[in-house]
Order: sequence, then C-alpha cells, then structure tokens
Amino acid sequence: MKKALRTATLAMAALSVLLVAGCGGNGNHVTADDPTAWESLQNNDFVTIEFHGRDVDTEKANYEQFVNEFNNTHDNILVSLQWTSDTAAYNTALDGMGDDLPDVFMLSQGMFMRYAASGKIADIGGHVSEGVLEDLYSSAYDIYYFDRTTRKIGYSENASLYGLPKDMGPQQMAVNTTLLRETVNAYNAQHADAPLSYDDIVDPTSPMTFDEFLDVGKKLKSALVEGSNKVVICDVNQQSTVYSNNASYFTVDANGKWTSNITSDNFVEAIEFIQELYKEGLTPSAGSTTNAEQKFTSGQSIFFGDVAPHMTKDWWNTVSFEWDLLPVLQGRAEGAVSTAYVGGMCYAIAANCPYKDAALEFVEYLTSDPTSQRSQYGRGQCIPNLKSLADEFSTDGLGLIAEQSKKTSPCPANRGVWIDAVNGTSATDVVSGKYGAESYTLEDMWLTQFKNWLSTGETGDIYQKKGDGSWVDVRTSLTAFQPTMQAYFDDQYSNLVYVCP
Amino acid sequence: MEHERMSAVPEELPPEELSPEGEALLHGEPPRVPKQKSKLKQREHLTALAFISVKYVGLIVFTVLPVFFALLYSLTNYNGIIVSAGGGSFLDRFTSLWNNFKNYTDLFGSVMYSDAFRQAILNNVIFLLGVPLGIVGGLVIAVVLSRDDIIRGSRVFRLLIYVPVVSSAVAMNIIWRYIFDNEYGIVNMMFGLNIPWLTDAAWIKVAIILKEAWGSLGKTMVLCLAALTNVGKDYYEAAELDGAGEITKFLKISVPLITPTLFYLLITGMIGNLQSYVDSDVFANGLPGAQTIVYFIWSFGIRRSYYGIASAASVILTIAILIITEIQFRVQDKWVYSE
Amino acid sequence: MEEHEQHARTKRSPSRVIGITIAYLFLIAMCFTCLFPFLWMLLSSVKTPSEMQNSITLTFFSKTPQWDNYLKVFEKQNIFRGLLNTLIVEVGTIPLCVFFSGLSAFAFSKLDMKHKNVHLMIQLSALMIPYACVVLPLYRAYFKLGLVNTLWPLILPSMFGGVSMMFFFIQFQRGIPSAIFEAAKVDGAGYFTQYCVIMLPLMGPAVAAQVIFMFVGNWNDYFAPSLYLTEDRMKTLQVMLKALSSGAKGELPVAFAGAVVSCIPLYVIYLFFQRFFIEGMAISGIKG
Repeated sequence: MKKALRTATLAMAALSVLLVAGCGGNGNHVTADDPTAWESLQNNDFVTIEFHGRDVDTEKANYEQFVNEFNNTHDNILVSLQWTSDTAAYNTALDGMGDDLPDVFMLSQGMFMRYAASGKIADIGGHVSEGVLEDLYSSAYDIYYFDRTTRKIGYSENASLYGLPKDMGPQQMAVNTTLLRETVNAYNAQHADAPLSYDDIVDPTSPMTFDEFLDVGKKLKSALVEGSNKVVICDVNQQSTVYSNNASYFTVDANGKWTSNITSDNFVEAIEFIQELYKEGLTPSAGSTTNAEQKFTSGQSIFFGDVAPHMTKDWWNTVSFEWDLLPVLQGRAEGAVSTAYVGGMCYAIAANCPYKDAALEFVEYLTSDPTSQRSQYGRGQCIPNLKSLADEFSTDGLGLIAEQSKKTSPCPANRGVWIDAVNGTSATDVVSGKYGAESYTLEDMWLTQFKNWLSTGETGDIYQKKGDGSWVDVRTSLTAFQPTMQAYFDDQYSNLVYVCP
Repeated sequence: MEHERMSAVPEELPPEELSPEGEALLHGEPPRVPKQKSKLKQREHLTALAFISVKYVGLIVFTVLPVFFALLYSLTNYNGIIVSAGGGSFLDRFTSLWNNFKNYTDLFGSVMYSDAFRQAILNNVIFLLGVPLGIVGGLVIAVVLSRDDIIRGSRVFRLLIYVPVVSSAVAMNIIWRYIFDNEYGIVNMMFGLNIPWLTDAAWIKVAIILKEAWGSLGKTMVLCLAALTNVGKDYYEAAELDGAGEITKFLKISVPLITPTLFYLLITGMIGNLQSYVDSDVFANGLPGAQTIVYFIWSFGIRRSYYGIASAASVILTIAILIITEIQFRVQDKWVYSE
Repeated sequence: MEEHEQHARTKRSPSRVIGITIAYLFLIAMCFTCLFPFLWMLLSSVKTPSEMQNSITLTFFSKTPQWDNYLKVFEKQNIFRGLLNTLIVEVGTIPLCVFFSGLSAFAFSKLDMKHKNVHLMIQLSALMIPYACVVLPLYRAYFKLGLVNTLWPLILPSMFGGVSMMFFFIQFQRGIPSAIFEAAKVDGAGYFTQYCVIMLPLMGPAVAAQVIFMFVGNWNDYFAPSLYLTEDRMKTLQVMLKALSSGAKGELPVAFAGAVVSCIPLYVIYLFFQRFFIEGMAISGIKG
C-alpha cells in the first residue's frame, strides 16, 4: 500500500521531470503584430474604451461622473469604468494581466517604469494635442518620459512620453496649530527668559532645519501633559528626509544601471536624524500600533510628517482643531533644501489598445480639462495639474474649497506650499519637491526591504533601544544592508536589459 | 479548495479490503464461467474507470498540470517585469527565461531572498510549537470530559469548546489582533504588561503560537474524546485494582492507547500549520517576524509577480510536506500502538 | 447525582471533591477561553473609537453603545453582495462535489477495477500537494482565461469532487451491504442507476456531515478568494471582512461589527447541526 503510494508519487515526479525536459527544447518565439502601431479613429467608427481606476469609493462616484460627462459629449466613444478600492489588489491585478491590459488605466509611479520599459504601454509623445502639455507643470509629466537608449526615466532628447499625470501628491508637514499654541504657551509660562516663538515655528517661507526642529521638539515635549499620550511628531517621511539632506538612494549611470548610495555621508546623516527623533521620544515609540494619521487627526500629535492633498479631504469636516501646512524639514548637509516627497499616478494607454486616438482623447480630458481639474481640487482630492489654476487654488478664488468644507478654517491657509513643491521654481527657492525614488526603478522591492531592514533584527533595527539600553549605529546598519540593496539593483538591471535591450 | 488540502493525509486502508479478489470472496460470489465473467468484469472495470475519470480530470487540471508548471516556473527567471516583454507566452519564451537552479540557490544564497526565506522557514518551524501545545490542551480537556461518571454537562462543554473551530479565521484574527494590541489590548492592560506583542519579532511568535493552540483545542478534544471512548473500561478497572491514581491511569493507559489519534493530530496539525497564511496576513499584518513560507510565496509570487523564485519556494514547501508524510508512514509502523 | 455517586467505585472523600471541583473549574476556564474572543468582539463592536483605542482605561461595556456601527458595515461594504457571492460558491461547489466524490467512491467501494490500489493512491497523493504549490500556475491560468474577479476559480476545482470527501465516502459505502447492489444488478439496473437510486439515498448521514464541513470550509476560505477577487462587487464575505479591518481610519469597531455579522450564520448552523459537526469530525478523524 505504502509502496503503491510512493510509486505513484515517484511516477508523478518522473512524469513532470520528463515533461520539463521535453519542453526545454521547444522555444519558438512568436512575434506579435507591431504593438506600437497607431491607428487613427475614423470619423464614423464607434469604439468602446475600457478604463480601470482605483481609489476609495467616494472617488469612484466622481470618476463615474467624469466618464458620463465624457460619454455625453463624445458620440462615437463609449468609456466603461471598472473600479477597485484596494491599492495592493489593483496593482497585483494589473501586473497579473500581463499584456492583456485595459485600454486606459491608472498606473502608480512605482510601477510606471517597468510598464514603459517592457513596452506594455503606448508611446503617446507625438500624439498629445497641442497646448495640453504647455499648461501642465513640467514636473507633473517629466517622470512619464522614458528613454529607451539610456534606459532612464525623465525627459531627454530621445525620451518618449508614456503617460499623462492623474495628479500629483506633494507631501508636506502638517501642524496642529491649536495644540501647538497651547503647548508653546505652556512652555513659555515656565521659561519666560527664553520663550518659544509660535510665529517662527509656523512660517511657510522658511523651513525649520533638522537641528531647529530637534531643539523646538525637545522644548515642546517638556511642556506636553505627562501621560496624555501626546507626541511632538508622528510619521516622518523617510524619502523627504533623505532628499532634504541632499542625499539620494542611488545614482544611475549612462546605461541605466543603479548604484546604491545609502552609505554616503548625507544619507547616513538623514537616517540618523530620524533615529534621533526616536531617541528623544519625539515620535511614538516603535511599538506603537496607532496609525499615524489617526494619531494626528485625534489631536494627539503636534506635527504630522507627511500629508498629501488627498488625505486632507477627510480632515476638513472631521478634525476638531485648526491646522496648517509647513514645508518639510531641511537637512544639515551643504546645499540641502526642504524637499517634499511627491507621489503621483498617471493615466496610461495599453500598447495593444486598438483605438489609441480615442483613448488619448479621454486621457487628455481627464488630465487637463479645467472643469474636471476644478472638481478634483475643490473636493480636496489633489492640487491642480494646471499652472493656470494654481492661483485660484491657493486663494480658493472660486470658493470651491469653501463650498465643500463646512468648518471655518478647514483647508490649510498655507496650501501654497504644496504648489511650491511641484512648480519647479518656488517663490522662495527654499521649498522644493521630488518624485519618489521608486519612480526611477522597475519596482520597489528594494525600498520595502530597506524599510523592513531598518525596523527589524539585531543589526538593522535603528528605531528601538536594545536590551542593554544602546541603540544600533545607523552607519553600521546601512553598511550592512548596502550589499543587499546593490543586489536588488543589479537584479533589476538584468531585468531591465532583458525588457529593453 | 484550501480547507480540503489542509485537512488530512488519511491513514491507509487495510489492503485486503481493497483487493477485488478478497472482496469477491467476502461477498461469497460463486466462481463464474471464465468467458462470461471476463465480459461482465470488463464492463464493470470500464464503468468503474468511467466513474473515477471525472476525479481524474480534476486531478490533472488542478493538481498535476499546475505542479508541472510550478516546476517549470521554478527553473526560470519568470517574473512580472518580463511577463509580457517581447510578446509570446511563457512556454514560447521558456528557453530564453531558463536559469537552471538559480532560484533554488538564490533562496538560500542570495542576499535578496535568503534572509526573508530563512526567516520564513524559521518562523514556520517555531509556529509548529503551537501544534503540540494545542494537542496537550485538547487532550487534557478530553480526558476530563471522558469521565462522564463524574462530569455532568459534558455535551455543553464540548459544544462551547468547539466554537473556535467553526469561527471564521479572518474574524478571529482581527479580534486577536485587538486583544494582543501593544497599546490598548486587553492582555497588556488587564495584566499591567507592556509587551510589544504585535511589533516585536519574538513576542508576535508567542502570540501566534498561543492563538494556534487555541484554535486547535476543539478539534483535538473531539478526536481524543472519540478515541478515549473506544478504550475499554476494563483497562481502567484493572489498573484501579492495582491502586493506580488518575495521573498514572492517564499516562500509562489513556495516552498509549490513543497514540494513533495523537499522532494523526500531530501530523495533520503540522501539515496544516506549515501552510498557514492568515496569521501573517491578517494577525501580523505582514510583520517580517511573522511571515510564513506561504506568505513568502504570496508576497513574491502574487504581490510582486516573481513567479520563478516563489515557485521554487513552493516546490521546497511541497517537498517538506512530502517528507513529513513519509515520516508519518515510517514512524507509524515502529512505535505507534495499534490494536 | 446521588444515585450516581452510590455507584461510583470510590467513596466520597475530600480529595475527590477537590478533584471534581478543579475539573469543573478547568472546564469552565477552557470554555471561557474559547468563547472570550467572540464575546470581546461582540462587546467591542459597539464601542466608540475612543473607547476602543484608549491606552489608559479599558472599556468593557460601552457607555454609549454605537449600534450604528452595524449600519456602517452595510454602508462601507456591500455585505449582502458578499453574502450572495459566498452563497454562490457554496451552491456552485457542494452538489457537484458531493455527487462526483460519491460516484468515484462508489467505483472504489463497490465495483471491480484493475489496479484499484494504484488508482486510489494516485487520487490520494493529491492531498500531499499544498495549495501554495499549485497557486501560481493556476493564478496565471485564470488571468489568461479572464476568470479573475469571477467566482469560477473558487468553484471549478471543487466541481470534480474532492479527495478527502471521496475517501470519507469510501469508508461509509464499505459499511453498506453489497447484497443490495447484487439484487439490483439482477433486476438489470446499471451501475450508474445503482449509484443514483440506491447508494445516494443511503448516504444521508455521510453526505450531511460532509456538506456541513464543506459549507464551513467555503464560508471561511480566505487565501484563494483574497487572490482572485479584487473587485468589490465580486468579493466574498471573508475578503470584505479583511478590507473592513485594514481601513486606516480607526474604524476597528466597524470591522468587529462586520466580523460578528459574518460569524453569526455559522454559529446558527452550528447550533442546529452540532451533531454532524462533532460526529462528522470524529468519524473522519478516526477512520481517515
């Protein structure tokens, strides 16, 4: 009996091995029709466009409206919408589709490069209508260029455009001004000789430096009510801290090959600053399970390290304190500028979409139609993509934001710092922004694993005091991870060469 | 489906029950004229084959072919980045994707995967501790309940203790996460502890082991109870005449007599435990210190579309399970008591 | 009680009373442990977010019970749709799975077949293959066939019968005398008729136990549905539950309310069919 079972298993295994061997020699390459072909829409054709999007359900309703509006004004195009509310599920499903992609779909920045490099999405560069790009912030679509010769993201002579921006999400620092005022007053009551200045802290035109913040933070902490669970800051964005210290995760050479840069002095210094926040107890401890955004919205944190426009639309009518925006902290290194992390998504068109003209028409409508842009920023979903709308957004000239929000001071007065992060030349030249590092790589496993490394293990974990009361040295931790980081980049490079020879 | 695969590798059937000749003898069928018999028999053989053919279709489509392709994937550099580059299906580009046993060596040798994979194996092995813990707990409950001469209401106890088994794993993990929460979990707050159950790589393993044991109490109890009622009362009576106490009776009589059940529970528990995923996903929310091998396969294979490396991991998991099954067969012969 | 004790071999003694007390205390503690998570879920499902996430005082009974947490469950997720999807899977798998498992079992238990042992062993060997091993190729295949975000990936594999169910049925069918089938054969009934007309009706208790097992298994299945069902309208109850719990905005009480909602039907079924649950488990465990 047992013998029979073993024989059966062995037979199955042997059969499988045989099949493997048999298939090994049988590698016909099938070449598909040229996927880059661009067919124009004939006047009397009627086409349907499948559009996939993702976001929370309230956004779904808005996109239904956009789609309806578009369908009503275009007799020969019918767009159908498919929506997923879960980000990870959406991305996984998109990857799983291989090259059977929907005609038009939202693509997050961390995935853009591999879609462009592997030829899954259409090069729309030569087909975008005149005037569309001119009114967009160049930073909004720059990262949707990909150069097949240098294998690099970003605009260059030979680069092609593979997507148009859905929106930009610059992440600046939020401050609970109600709590800050209280705490500053409490502090000043005891330290009349060297008081803190509220106005110096809440100044959007001069970002606080790492050192200023540590100083202010320690003072504020001393004035916070003991045992109230309140903290000075929650959720510091690692990427913006690194960028703001004039550091980078990697450098890219002329062939698109990445070299890890995490042991450079500026990089180490930036991570050390984050560790200092933990050491000084200015942030919730590493063991805290409260979601950072929740910590801030429940009034338990003075600062919140990275707030993107789309997060705040829920705050407008739920948060019970006044708050405002500040530029992210500026580093110690030479040439350091307060640099916000900019997130973003684009609309891409599948390479094998048969009606690219129609698809592009729809994408242009979404990306640059002032009505749709106003509708989006008015709901607090994002900042406008269009330069021409920047002023009316900053001042709420049309009163769209005020109309949507019921509280007296619901949208931060300093919301211009979001614009400053993306408009390239900020009025003050002290505020800047940069797209997430994952935008410049094929996929972000390196970043996930890097974050895991920093928060687990004997040599890696920099956020927690060890049993003997000491802290892991940041440089040691980063040096230990450097080879792994490089291995991820090398592995990605071999994939990049495979898909983009 | 998952639950089915999770369940059991059944114990073997006594061979004589299976052999056609034996069955024919048992039913007292008279020997037939060879020619007629062969014709009728042949029809019966064919019908039987037809009846199980449906099962074979399922087996081939949903097990044999996927296993075969998993083996293929594991020998290639098949991933989401290149899944559609240049067109053509997986088999079309098989030779250009071939990378020998690199995935297997990478799982143990490359800095990219070896840490995560080694950690996943280690986590899985540690989580296995929950199996014996649950068995011991369930066994003690069963032994107490089996004394129906002194324990009343055993039916109600049985009913209630079995509840976790019929509860949804997702729902239970959501609530366990809240129970163990570092900051406002009832465990820490009731006992005045400050243990980082959910964020510390070591403590979360303790939490998961406890949770696993809790989840298997009901099953163990029911099976042990059934086995204990099959143990003849005369064994105990004889022992009592010799003056044996409760504990002696338990260790010297109950346990040895139900070793087949305990062993069965151990093996099926281990096989099920090796395939756990919900703990890592829902309870631990993906914390590296609690990622299992199946979570590794999910996070690399499904989430990140690294089909090659994830398939290699799945092949290794399968081999581990085959080895455990093999051990089951060998050990069972040697020391498990059977009547 | 008294009558019982008179029959007891050992006389009432202090140590015995202590022993019995300890046994009861132990059992009550165990019951409490087993029920506690569910009770805690029930209590927590009506808490306010601040009662829920309060590291200073522990709230057992909410002062202002938020019953509308239960309404929110239905607002946030289309729970009825989830319920419907789960039920579609149940209805789509169970009848065919039972029918074909029983049919194969019939061939193994009552018919003559060449190399019966080998066939059985090949079938059983499928039990040793973990789902994680076959999931990636299946996942690719379902994508290629456009079956992702449909319920087919959950229904198809079970439509051809299940291995452990078949094994259970073989055990059961062995206990049914073959003479009945011999008689039917004499009357000219074919094997398929014998199975449908004679065997199936006789399998009542075994089928009931297996149907309940499969029902609970399908209901609680999470891994496969979480892979294949990403669109909200196709999600099963368990996948919706996970989506409820992973919302970042402090709506854990709502997630608990959802968990309660998803558990209640199972508990009701459990209460009514407890015999099949426990006995089915006991039989399959011991024999299988």
